[in-house]
Amino acid sequence: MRGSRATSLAILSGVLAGGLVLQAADRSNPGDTEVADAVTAGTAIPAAAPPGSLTSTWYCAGGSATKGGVADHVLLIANPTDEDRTATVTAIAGDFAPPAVIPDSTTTDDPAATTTTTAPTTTTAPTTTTTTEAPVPVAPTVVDLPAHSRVELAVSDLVDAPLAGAIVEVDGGQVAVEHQVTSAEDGRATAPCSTTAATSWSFPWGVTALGARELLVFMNPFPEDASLDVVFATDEGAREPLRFRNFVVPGRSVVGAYVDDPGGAQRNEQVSAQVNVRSGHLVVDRIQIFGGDDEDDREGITLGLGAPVPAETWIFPDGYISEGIRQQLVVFNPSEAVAEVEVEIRLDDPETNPAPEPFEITVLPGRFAIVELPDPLAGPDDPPRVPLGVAHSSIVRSLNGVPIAAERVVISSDGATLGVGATLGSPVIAPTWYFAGGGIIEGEREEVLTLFNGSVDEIATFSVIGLVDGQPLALPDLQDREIPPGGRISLRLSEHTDRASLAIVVEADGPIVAERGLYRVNGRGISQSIGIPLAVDVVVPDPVEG
Amino acid sequence: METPPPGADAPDDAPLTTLPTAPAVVAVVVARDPGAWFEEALTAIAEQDYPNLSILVVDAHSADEVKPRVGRAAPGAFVRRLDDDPGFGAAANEVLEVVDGAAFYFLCHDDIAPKPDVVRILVEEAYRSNAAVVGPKLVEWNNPRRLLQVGQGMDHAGFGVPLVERGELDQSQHDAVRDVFTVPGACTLVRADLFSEIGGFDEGIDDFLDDVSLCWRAQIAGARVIVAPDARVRHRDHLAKSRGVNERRRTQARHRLRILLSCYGPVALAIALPQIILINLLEIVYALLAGRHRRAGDVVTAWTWNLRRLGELRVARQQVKGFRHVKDREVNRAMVRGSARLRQFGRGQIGRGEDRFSGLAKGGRGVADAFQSGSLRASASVWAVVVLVFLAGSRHLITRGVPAIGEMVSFSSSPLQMLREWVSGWRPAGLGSESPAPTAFGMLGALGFSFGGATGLLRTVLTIGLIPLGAVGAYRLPGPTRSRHAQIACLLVYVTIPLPYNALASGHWGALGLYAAAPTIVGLLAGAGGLAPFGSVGSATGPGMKPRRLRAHILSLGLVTAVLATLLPVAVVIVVGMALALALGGLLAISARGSARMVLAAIGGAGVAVALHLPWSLDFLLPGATLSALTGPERATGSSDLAALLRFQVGPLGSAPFGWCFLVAASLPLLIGRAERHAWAVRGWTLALVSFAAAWAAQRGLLPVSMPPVEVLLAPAAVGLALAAAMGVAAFEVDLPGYRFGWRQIASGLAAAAVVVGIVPVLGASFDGRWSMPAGDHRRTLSFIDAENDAEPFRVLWVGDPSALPLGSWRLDDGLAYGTTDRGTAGVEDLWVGSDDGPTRLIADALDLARTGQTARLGRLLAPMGVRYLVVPASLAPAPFSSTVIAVPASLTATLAAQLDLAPVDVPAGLTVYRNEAFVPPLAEVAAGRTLPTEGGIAAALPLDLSTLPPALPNDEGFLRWSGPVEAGTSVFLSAASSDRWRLEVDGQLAERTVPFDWANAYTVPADGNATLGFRTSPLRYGVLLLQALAWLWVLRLLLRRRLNGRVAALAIASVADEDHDEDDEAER
Repeated sequence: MRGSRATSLAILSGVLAGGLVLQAADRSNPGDTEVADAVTAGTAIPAAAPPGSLTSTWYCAGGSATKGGVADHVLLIANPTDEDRTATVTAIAGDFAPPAVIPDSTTTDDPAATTTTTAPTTTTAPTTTTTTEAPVPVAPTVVDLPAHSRVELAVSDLVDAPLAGAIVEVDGGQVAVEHQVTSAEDGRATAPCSTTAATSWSFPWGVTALGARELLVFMNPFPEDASLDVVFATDEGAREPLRFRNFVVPGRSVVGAYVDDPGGAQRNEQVSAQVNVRSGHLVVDRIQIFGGDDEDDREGITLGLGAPVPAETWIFPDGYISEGIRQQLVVFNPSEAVAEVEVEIRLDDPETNPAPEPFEITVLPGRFAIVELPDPLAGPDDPPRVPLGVAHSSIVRSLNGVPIAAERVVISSDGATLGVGATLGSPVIAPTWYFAGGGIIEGEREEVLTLFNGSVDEIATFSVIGLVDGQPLALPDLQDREIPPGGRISLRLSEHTDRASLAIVVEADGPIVAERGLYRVNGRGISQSIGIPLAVDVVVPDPVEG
Repeated sequence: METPPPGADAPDDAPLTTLPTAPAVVAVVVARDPGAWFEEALTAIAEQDYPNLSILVVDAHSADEVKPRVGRAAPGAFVRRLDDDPGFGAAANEVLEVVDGAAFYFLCHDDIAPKPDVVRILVEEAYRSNAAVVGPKLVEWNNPRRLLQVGQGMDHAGFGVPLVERGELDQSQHDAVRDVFTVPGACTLVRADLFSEIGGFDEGIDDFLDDVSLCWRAQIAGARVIVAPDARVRHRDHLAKSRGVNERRRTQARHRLRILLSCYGPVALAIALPQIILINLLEIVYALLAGRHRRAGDVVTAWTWNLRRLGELRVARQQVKGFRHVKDREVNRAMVRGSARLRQFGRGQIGRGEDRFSGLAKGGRGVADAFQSGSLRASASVWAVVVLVFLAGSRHLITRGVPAIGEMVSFSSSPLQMLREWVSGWRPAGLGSESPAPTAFGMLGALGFSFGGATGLLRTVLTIGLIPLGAVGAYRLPGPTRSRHAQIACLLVYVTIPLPYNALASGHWGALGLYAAAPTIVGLLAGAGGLAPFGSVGSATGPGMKPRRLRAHILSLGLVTAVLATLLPVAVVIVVGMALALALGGLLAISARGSARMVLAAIGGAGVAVALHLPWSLDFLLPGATLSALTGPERATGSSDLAALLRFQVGPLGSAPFGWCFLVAASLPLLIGRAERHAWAVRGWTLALVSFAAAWAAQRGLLPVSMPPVEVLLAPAAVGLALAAAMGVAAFEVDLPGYRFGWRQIASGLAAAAVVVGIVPVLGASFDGRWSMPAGDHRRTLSFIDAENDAEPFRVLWVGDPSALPLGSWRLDDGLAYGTTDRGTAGVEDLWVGSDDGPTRLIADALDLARTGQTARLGRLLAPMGVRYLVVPASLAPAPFSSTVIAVPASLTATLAAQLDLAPVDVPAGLTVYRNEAFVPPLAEVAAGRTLPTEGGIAAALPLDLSTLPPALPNDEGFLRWSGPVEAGTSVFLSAASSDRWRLEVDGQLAERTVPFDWANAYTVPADGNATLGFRTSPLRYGVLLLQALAWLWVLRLLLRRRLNGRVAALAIASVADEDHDEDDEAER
């Protein structure tokens, strides 16, 4: 009996103790728990659906669809596959939200919109609801997409409205959709449409200074109304204007709002905007217009999505500063923790050009920080930290894991290329990139392709293919070219083709980032944007190792 | 036989012995297989000093004729032999046939020995007191100084009130002549003319309480009943002892009721009946709570026995009416006020083999004994507390209903609807299939009818009622240990383990079912193993455990498993797992004998359960079935804190330090137990540890297969610990005295304290009246869905964590499941969904397409499936009723929010509801000239806008049958899995069927007219179901015959030790 008691006691207590020890050991090793990565292609950055996808859906928010509009809206749909496809395009009409009026006002002249304001009290925050009536639904249009081709579709052909967006539903994957806005006075900008509707959008850069207009275009493609708040970060701190509190975007509509209108953000040289969607999901584009009459004589128009998901690393393949070209890297921290950020500049030809010391900046929650190149505060005799006339790429990375959003702005007063270009960086690297827009007209329009090798160890070999008249065109001298590890290459496409309508596909054997610059030669117009990765083998770069 | 008439002229003051002729007395001795004492008894009667006594011996068909023995002991006695044994009363009535002219009858059992002056004293007292019935003082045969009875009173419900304590020392303290309601039936002097007038004894009462009947009837006739204690009669009480306490009690209950029903006049009976019924009900409740099912059965069968004899009762009442000279109220004055039964309860006398002969007389001595022997009084007290706490803790659930959370869905369907679903060959779950319906539909339908259609009450009983059921099982489990304290400990530990309350709070009905059945299952497994005290292996068999063949154990286990599997299909596997764990425990305890039988019984029982659930079982066995059909889809891995699991803290209850008490209490037998008590403690612990390990591994996602909810996995642990705790108490009583004083005594004290302290959390949890269940549920929030569904049917698609879904579901992804309802919100018929093999899987395919970003038109994909609403629960109940959030994967939320044709519906937090704007009615009319694609699968619906299709066949003709007008050339689309058993007839003409989208049904209408669409169930299915029903009845009948031996308690099949504390009590006496 004594033996069996001891045996059973030993085994039972051993099992129990073993389990508890195992549990304790497991607690001390929390690394086993995987945290879902929020940065995915298609969400953090527009991405083409992979092969075999049943459908792919694109949301093109910003632009006008009426004569004399501020930004004529054109859709650019590229089908680089071997199969004909069909796209169903549903235009969504919209209008500008009326500017806020004096606090007691409850009516506007616009019968289609109302603005109501509740006076603040001591116990509750003042709330403002801006609503615009939902537009009449527009019947969808079916568009054929022949293989290896690009289709352009003016939204104004589908609907006549002060503002109009579009939903493009394609019966398959591997299709890229961009949109283009053109202002008769301010130029043209091209950028990818979105493949996601999100609940938050971060716009690191924006200018509301005199002579500049910042237009946020909210598109709600869903049946139900959405509401949102916008918080602006300025040099003077955060601002939450009543006009953008509980801002309602009716279901299946587009609403545009000038940030600089009365009741919005005040006139500021730099405004970061954080859009928080209270209910529903939205797509938000920003159209920034400079008339050339601001303090810096900036001219041009930019178009771009915000960042729906902040990331720890943002890569900008292109970069160049000179006497007439300056650059800003705007880092915005939408989170609630302080971000420790490093901005690395990688110069071309590193053997000749020593790497400049990285910029280390601290970005407070809800605030922004700017790295200006060249440094405006440097004295005339100070050697520039980043040399002028040497092309470079930029990598913005958060060192303490706090996700951020980063945008690069290029202001060119160079006589050859005049204008302002802005683009978010790429939070991912991928082997295949699409550009639906673009084209070259000798002496009038130029297109520059810049590729960044996301690998610091291996050479990336790439080829560039154009989609021309239903055929894939391997651009001469752009086949099986190499990019050094961690380096970049910039390609002036006019040296390889003269197609006025040119959608291109970049295919590499390793993860890269592709950026495109569209320039108006001897005129106003710079449009820069990261390409559209194919959602296959997409990698999120490690902020420390990358 | 001539005897002198009663002397009417006897002087008042002269002793009778001086009379020239004493009244003739005939002693009537009814002999019924008398024992060796018979001669002594006859001699004592023959030696009476009464001068005019004759003896008539009525031989009630004794096996050996008594005539020779009578001749030797009482040569002058007459003997009359009967052809059968009609019982004492009827046999004594023979005197009316064969004797004439007697003044008194001295009616005697064959086991009494009166002192020589008894007849004289009785006759003298009869004359002196003008009494017609006179009884003596009965004393014990072997110890005449101990009293047995000196007459007794009676209350209005027929329960006797003894005037002396049985076994009381006779010190002449009760020697006064007094009026009583009844006198001892073993020896009674009754005036002959009265006896004749009332027709003697009531012959409907063969034995027991015949004296009560006689005395009552005598009083109705105006006679006086007295006791003359100077007359001393020794009594062996052989009749009572020879029958056994159970038969005695059962017979008394029947006869008592017959006496009441026959002796009371109409008005008095109307007044007394409610009191009788109330007391009977209280007695039934008490008996059930005390685990004395036979006693409850006795009360019930007393009524059925009498109701079957209504004709006899009518005759008896007529007879009484014929000789009634005194009104009931006069007789009632002689009765005791109040209820003797309740007073007995108050004194702790009920249950100790109580009957007129033994229990009541123990009086105050029994109270002390009850405490000292830890027996019924203690059990009753503990049970009273348990019931009180349970009722207090469940009060809001009982009065306001159990909220529909988790698996505890509403019983919205009528019993008829449930039976129809069971019988039908079409199962609507998902997109429908021809798979067999769960047995539960049939059972719930039948139960619903037995509840008179009160399905809400049925639901309450089947949810919170499972907790007391488990408690009863736990109390009975250690019965064979012969220790009521062990039973009490097992009960206390089992009911204070937080598992059932956490299961209630999280809506895990299946876990409650296993909690209720687990003690019974362990008891059956133990019985099958035959290990002491559940069998004879190793030591003596405990009370109530009879050796049975393995086949009988298998049948018992099979039936219990089958009943449990109705609610929790995975129980078939769990029971085998429990047997393996117990067998492993046997190995650890170095007591492996019987383990193989245990496992064999479990496997066999599982086989029986599977067979009893045919054809439903095929759903889990045929190709295409997945394990998740049995266990439910994988759940999101929950808290893997082993310490919390050890405390059963899988819900609001179980936090430290109180949560550790059960483990402390259960540890005692491992330290002090010996022999089978130690072995069973090790088995209990092994069962618990295996259960904990399974739960832990499942919570951490370490197992390669899907597992049932953690509460289900922990239920065996609860019974394992409770069993160990019970063995600890048994060891305390049996083993501890063998040790010297030391740490073992201290450990025992700690264990006892742990049991007591462990009660605290449950007491605290009882305050809210609902065991932490939310006060509301999602039904009100989603009532608009029910309302719309009533107007136009559609499907609702539910997606989310399986724990949050109020219905049976299928796996979509890790921690993500989906299910459908087709009658609005979920009902009980949606709980068992079986396999999703077939078209139903297309729903998951559609969801996967959306989740992988391949479509933003999920609504269109779901439209042909008739899905109008998509519901994602993120809590068991809406705010503010529940603050517990069950995480919904962000990817799912984002996916659904990104769909262009799903419109969110404004509902309170805890739910996300989308309306499908592309919805197509499940029965839709397709215009002439338009055809639905028959290729391309679900994706073929993507480019189609079918939202404009109008509903078709609007008239609901009953289950799976619709009708309505149709036009030639149009089509009728039916959103159900393709089957040629669906048929559309237009005025008798069969419509051609196509298969749109590769899975649905569409019918081209051949002509204008009235169309009927319906599903034709295969006749084969009806045959199979008939066989299934017969199989259940066969097993039930077999078990009832074998195990219950004709007793009441139909479902006490499992039984462990039940019973026979009565026999223990008898032995104690």
